[in-house]
Amino acid sequence: MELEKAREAARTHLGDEQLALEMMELAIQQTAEYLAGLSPIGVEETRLILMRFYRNEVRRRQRAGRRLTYRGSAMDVERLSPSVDCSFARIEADLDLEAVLNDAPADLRCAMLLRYGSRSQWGEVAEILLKSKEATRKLCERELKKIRKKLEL
Amino acid sequence: MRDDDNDTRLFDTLEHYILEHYPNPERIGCLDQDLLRRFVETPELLDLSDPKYLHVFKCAECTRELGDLRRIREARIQQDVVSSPFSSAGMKAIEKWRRHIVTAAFKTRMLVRRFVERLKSVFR
Repeated sequence: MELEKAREAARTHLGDEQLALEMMELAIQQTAEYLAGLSPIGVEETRLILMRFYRNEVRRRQRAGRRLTYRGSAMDVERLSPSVDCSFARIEADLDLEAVLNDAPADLRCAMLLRYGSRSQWGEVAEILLKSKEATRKLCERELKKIRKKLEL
Repeated sequence: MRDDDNDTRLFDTLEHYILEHYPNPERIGCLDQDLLRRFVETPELLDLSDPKYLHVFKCAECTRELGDLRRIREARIQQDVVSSPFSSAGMKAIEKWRRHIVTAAFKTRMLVRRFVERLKSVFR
């Protein structure tokens, strides 16, 4: 009778009545361990204890089945979700020159990159762009003002 | 504190800002070592209008590398000045002429490119 109830519980809660035998064996083992140190009890009481252990096992497997498990390695997680520290720093940065210069004219991009990357003087930048120093400076004036404002200079 | 004609203080502060706010330890999207070296040594020979170079404005690692390469360049120039049989004024003149020649080559290339583009627009 217990086995029928056990199969039904396995089918209803876990979707597989084949698990009933395995769980019942485990419940029997736990019951034996529980009763080992106690004074002898009747059959009815033993049945109740056995079913209690069985139901616990069913609930335990049900909870385990609900948890999401990730099949992969720590490297995969790192690749999918980069370091939190880097993300925070980038979120706090409110000066995004790449976005500002992405739509800017090519000459302006060149001028800013030359000044920033290789630290060419404005005169050298002007020579490369085939412009006068004043024209080059004027070309970058608006962007430089924006940068000054963001950097509070 | 006022800035000089080359906005040195502005660009130093900008560099510091990028080093602090744009860490990129995984080097995602970074320019390769050779390109960064050419960026510092012969920037006039690169096509800096390519948007890929804007990456340096959002990458602390590339910015740091550019700084290191600039220091190497300065140290090399100083070393050349010290060890050269020429005077320091002579070395500066050589360096100046070297840059003139390289710039002239770049300008010629730019002029030829513009000429070709005009021709294309005429015959389209």
